[in-house]
Amino acid sequence: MKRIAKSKLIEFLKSKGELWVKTREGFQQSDAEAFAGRASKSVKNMVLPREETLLVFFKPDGKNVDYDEIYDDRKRILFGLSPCDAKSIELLDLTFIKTSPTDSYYKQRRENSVLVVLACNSPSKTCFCKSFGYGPFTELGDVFLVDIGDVYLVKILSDKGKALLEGLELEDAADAELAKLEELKSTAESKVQDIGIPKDIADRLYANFESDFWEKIAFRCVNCGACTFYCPTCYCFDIQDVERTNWGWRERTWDSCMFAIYSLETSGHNPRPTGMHRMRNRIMHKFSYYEKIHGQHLCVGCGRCVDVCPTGFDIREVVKQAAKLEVTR
Amino acid sequence: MGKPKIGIYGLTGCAGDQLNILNCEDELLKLFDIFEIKSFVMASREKDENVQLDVAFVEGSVSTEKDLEELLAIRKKSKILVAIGHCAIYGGVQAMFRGGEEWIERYKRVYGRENAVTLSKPLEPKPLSAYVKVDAVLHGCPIEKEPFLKLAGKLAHGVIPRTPDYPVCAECRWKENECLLLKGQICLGPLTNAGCGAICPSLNIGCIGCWGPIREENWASEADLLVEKGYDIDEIVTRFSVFGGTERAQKLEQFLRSRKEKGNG
Amino acid sequence: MDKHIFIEPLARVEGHGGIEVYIENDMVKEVKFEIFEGPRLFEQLVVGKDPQEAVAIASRICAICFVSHTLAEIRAIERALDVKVGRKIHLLRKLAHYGEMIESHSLHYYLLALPDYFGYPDAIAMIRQFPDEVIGGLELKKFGNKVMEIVAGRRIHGENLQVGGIGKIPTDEELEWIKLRAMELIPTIERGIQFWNEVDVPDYLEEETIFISVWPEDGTYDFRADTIYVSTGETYAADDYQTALNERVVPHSFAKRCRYKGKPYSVGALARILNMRDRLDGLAADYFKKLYNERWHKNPHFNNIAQAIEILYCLEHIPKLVDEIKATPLEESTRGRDTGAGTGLVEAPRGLLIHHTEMENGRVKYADYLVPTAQNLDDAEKYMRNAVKNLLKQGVQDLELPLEMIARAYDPCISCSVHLVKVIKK
Repeated sequence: MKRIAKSKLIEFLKSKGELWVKTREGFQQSDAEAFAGRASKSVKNMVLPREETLLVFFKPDGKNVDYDEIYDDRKRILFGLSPCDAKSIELLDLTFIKTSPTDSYYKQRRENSVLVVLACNSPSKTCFCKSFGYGPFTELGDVFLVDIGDVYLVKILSDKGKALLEGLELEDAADAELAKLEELKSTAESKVQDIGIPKDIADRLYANFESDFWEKIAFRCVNCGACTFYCPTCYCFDIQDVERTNWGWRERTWDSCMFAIYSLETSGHNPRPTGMHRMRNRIMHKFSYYEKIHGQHLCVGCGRCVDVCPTGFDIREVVKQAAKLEVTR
Repeated sequence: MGKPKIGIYGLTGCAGDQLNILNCEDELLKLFDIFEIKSFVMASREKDENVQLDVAFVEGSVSTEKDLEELLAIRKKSKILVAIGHCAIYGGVQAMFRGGEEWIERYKRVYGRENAVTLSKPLEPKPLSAYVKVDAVLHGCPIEKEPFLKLAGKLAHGVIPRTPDYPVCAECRWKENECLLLKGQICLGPLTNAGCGAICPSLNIGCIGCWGPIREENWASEADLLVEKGYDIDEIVTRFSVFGGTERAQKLEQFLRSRKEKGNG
Repeated sequence: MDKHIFIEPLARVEGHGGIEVYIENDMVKEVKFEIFEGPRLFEQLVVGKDPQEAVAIASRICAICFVSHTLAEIRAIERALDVKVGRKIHLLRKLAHYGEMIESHSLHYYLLALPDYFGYPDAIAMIRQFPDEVIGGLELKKFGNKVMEIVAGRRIHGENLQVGGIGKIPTDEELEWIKLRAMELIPTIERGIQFWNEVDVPDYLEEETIFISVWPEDGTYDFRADTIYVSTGETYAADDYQTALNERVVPHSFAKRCRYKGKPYSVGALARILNMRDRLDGLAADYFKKLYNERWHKNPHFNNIAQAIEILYCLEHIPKLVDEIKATPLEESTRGRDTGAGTGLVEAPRGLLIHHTEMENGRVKYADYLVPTAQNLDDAEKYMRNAVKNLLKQGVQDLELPLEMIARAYDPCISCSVHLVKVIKK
């Protein structure tokens, strides 16, 4: 582990690209100090923006179409991601880059961003990241930092990270500082939950597709979509064309599988007509389908959905109950 | 294809939807250019009621026999009928549930007797869909400029767009507001059609539901939630009834009272 | 000669109305200003509701003057519950009210009324000959709308104004924008006022009438008060409105009718300007002096120019109002009780508006609304009768347009006028 004075690092990074700092609210271009805990909003907006223009098109003669794709090629430094943020990007990468066809917009943005992860000194009450085999001090990202007071402890984890800090003088961390790290780490780790997800949860859920378990848990949900917007790994989106007289643009925005209109087909048929269907789909996508396809659950245990739900729906309870379902086939 | 012929009409209401169309100051001239407006009584003395219309926009509830006659005539002569605004789609505040009392009793209390006004027979306020087939709706109280222009644009190209039906919460969260329900205020966001941009919650005022209940609202869950937060049944039913039309408040009251009796209230 | 004139629906007014005239042997037998707009029974709808709900419902009485209804309801409930708000809230409400005056008056003056005097069916047809005027009118209307959007939350049925305060205070930037834009628009309304000189005001209906308006206690020309002033010289406390203004049901109207000591009377911009003319100042006072003559007391057509002058008055006063809002700190409001009665008296663009409320345990027990257009209907019928009589004598055949113009001069808001009242046994 190395060490560096906070202000020195920030000054240096400002000269290397657009610096986006994670404050208590989320990522902003700000001079505020990075917050070493779980921010209200995750890093999702940075790699998969809430709204983005994909292309602009023209129909000069009203018939043939000309278009220009719009790519975001800004070089950005995302400073202060919590380990759950970094984990969520890993999961999004599986869908948007590793699976063919690659999403070129996401890829461009992803490649132009350097991830500077900050260990989570103060997890929130609803954090349960330990359930997924990592924790608040797991070393993830391109550069890993620990906030021990007026100094960051630093570890370079990738070539991208190395290139970022090229030219910056880092000193070796002192023993006292390393001891402080251990202290912060054990405090933080004691605060996060492990809800005990069974290894075969994917199969349990899959086998109980028709169970009345889903009706019971879906009752409370008012389908407001808050969970999907705040979730760092929910990635459903909608693409619409906005037309003017002979030109327009194509935009992508976040969408939510919790809205009735989401799965509505042009014929008028809706394969998920009720709240129960949509809740079942969401839980299974996160804890069954994704693992079967990509080998990991689509959840990082950040607990935001638990905090923002107006009806008090708690996904941790759902998973614990699901763990008790029998595998009947 | 010639210019589409349209008509803009109002039955019984506050005329807010028609007013907001007139409020499209920058686009008003273009509107009069793209469409052949055959009737817009609020804006113009000139009209031709003997023409087949491509699209008729109607606001207001059916509250008199005259309203009904007018509505049937409009339906007959228009290819597409669009109900605009809460009154036309759900009946408006005038259709609110009033504790099981007969509407005509209310009327008699007001005007003295049933046939005090002979101009036209009053009827219990109902939405357009109670009497005719409605091809498209545009939510609002009143409708908003941009959705109206978007709808008019699509109709001009012969497309009937589907109305989005997601709750106000979607827009509220989009604007990154703090959830008022979590703060203990009554907010009908989860049950109400979006499109207004979650204006009131953005002003720290709980949504009052004026854009009408979404099709698949989970009023039972929200009612449960409010009971948990300490609101009593009458308060909740009253709040739900303001823009909820007749049926929903009735169902809600039955639901909550039976829960209370079973000891779950 | 016998003739039956039936104008229905009445165009370029808000709501569903009509005019019916029966002529027998060249004599006017009957003149009716008919209100077809169906009953919505608002005073019943608010019963049992809490203040936020009652205000939201009352707002829906009318879209054009929703701020007036909102403020009347708020004032009634605040008086009933002994709620005191600080000066900043009071001023913000005033700003929203000015926005509504400007929006409603511009809509009426430019788009609904003026086309008639120049022979056009609507303002769009008028735009080719008078582009500056029509576009100027649209700009003024847009400004009024923006003010309401900023202060009341929306340009129609905004929820920001509440009993006891406000949801969110507008930002300094928004207030500055309002101030600057108001000053920019003064030349536009001046042109609009000068444009009135081109108008040939009909004279075939003139007759004296009574004018009733608010009478602000602080001596200013304003749209809210707790006193009613009658042009015969009498004043009444707002709570005593029922002794002064008497309502009755007529068979040809879902709106009730109103008289003062048995006589029809007029409310609106003309009534305000005549009653409070000594309180005008600035350019508004100058233009009034230039244009005023004794015909203003006998002819409802002058309501249109009175509205234009009021637009100017509001624009002139907005800058000072904005400065005062910014300089005044926000105070906590207080609430004294849960049960009581109160009367909210305001001037809607069309005239005197009263909301009377009785509250019990924090909820509405009883409500009574008296709206401007209902008060003008008898007066309108009187002038229509005069017009028909005199025009028949002159041998004029087309009576429809003159009758419509009289109706439109009052800027009737027909949806408002259909409300309901039950006589209380006091």
